[in-house]
Amino acid sequence: MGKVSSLIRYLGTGFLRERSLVLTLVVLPILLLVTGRISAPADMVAFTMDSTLIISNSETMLLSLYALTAVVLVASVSSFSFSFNFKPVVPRLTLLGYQTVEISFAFLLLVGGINLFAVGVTWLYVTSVMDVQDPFGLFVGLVFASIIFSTIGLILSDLTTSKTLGLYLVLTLAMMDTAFIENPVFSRRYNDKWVDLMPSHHSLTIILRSVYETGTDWSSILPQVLLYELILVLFLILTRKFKATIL
Amino acid sequence: MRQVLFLTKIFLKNLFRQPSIVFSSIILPLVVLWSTWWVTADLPMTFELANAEQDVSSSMIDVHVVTGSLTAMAITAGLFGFIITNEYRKISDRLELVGYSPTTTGFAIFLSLFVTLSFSIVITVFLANFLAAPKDPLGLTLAIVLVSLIYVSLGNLVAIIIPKATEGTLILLIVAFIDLMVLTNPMGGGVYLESWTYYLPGFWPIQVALEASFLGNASVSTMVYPLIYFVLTVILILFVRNARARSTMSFLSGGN
Repeated sequence: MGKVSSLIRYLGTGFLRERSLVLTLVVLPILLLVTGRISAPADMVAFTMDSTLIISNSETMLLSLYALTAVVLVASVSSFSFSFNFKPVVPRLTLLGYQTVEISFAFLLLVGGINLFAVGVTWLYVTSVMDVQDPFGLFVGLVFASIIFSTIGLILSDLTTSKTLGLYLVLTLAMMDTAFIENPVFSRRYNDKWVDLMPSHHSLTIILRSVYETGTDWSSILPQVLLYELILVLFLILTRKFKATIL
Repeated sequence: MRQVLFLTKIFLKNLFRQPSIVFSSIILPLVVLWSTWWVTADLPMTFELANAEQDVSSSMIDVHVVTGSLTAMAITAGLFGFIITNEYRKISDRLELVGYSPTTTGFAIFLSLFVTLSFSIVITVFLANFLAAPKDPLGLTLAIVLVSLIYVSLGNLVAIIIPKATEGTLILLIVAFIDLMVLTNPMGGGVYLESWTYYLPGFWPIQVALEASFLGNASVSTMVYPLIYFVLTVILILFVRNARARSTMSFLSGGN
């Protein structure tokens, strides 16, 4: 653990020195949320969740979705860029005696921790402008979305050799998933079974169950979301182990 | 002009050598456009246009495919313009040190970007026309070209001002998304056709696309605005490039 924390300190010093982090973690999520709020139509929307018909104003539903999109975009791009920039350091750290698991955990804890700022900002904004049944549940949903996409960003940075390609992949996945497929009103695929496999699906379920009264507790989906993240972390470690073996 | 063409040829050779170009310029817009069609619910909707008297009634799928084709190209052009300009930053600095003017390198980068993007434009136009069956396919094609021109120049501009990949990419993606999917899109609802949204980069290309697809003809006045927008952005790019080159030269010559 001591090695991991010293590694986090070393990597984090360089990362946190960048002033442009304020733009990524605070300004951009707020911009997206404010736009979502002002552009919400006055109409009501209806959708089914947990076999309950939910009738809501557009603003509440849109803000819930935009909160997820903001957190996911920031998490995926910042983790991908961070990991890609530190790619040349990983083989050196391995040669210095760091285990692959230690390096992966250090990356994940650092990126996940920094992305919590964006989650906090998003959560504060959303809870201050709309009524949320369970604010803690909303926070948990946003945290899981952020962690899952941070892990995906790290995996993609390991798998791709081109920064352009990796950024496009991670952004396309994040945007398709949160802005198109997971919209319970505008997407005709929302109730398809395969949508359960999409990375932000369980987090969105937690978010919507916390925002609306669906009769089902949000915590009942926690095992699935934890399993999803665990599989991603295992995949990340295995990819890195494989690369280290080649080295 | 010869210098511009010479540099464009070199930049293009370098661009086509990268396998990621295929994904960035062809697969990405196709994925975005196809999924808008595949995902959107078949709900009826009615919307107004800025330069037309009559209201338009249509399926949400068609509206989303038409506006989605512009969004796909705006995101592709913006990100592509940003990332490539950013990658060529050091090269163009060196070229300027050996005597090429910032205007020449700027035009060469822009031309090579547009040649590469023309592939994605052709594919997006083909798929959009196939999925949405617009009344005036040429009008929709023009709208796609216009939005690509505007966003590739915006990507270029952002790369000159903000050289950081993470921030620049996020800014362009969020701006393109907010602009074309939320504020200027009839599906966005709330602020659609409010007077201040007329100044957004995607507003007039979206109007051209909607007029062409659902009324059958896009008015010339609607097409003039995005062209003006594009020309003004290019002038701004040249101004910023020249200012940056002057400050670099002044720094190298010891501040005199």
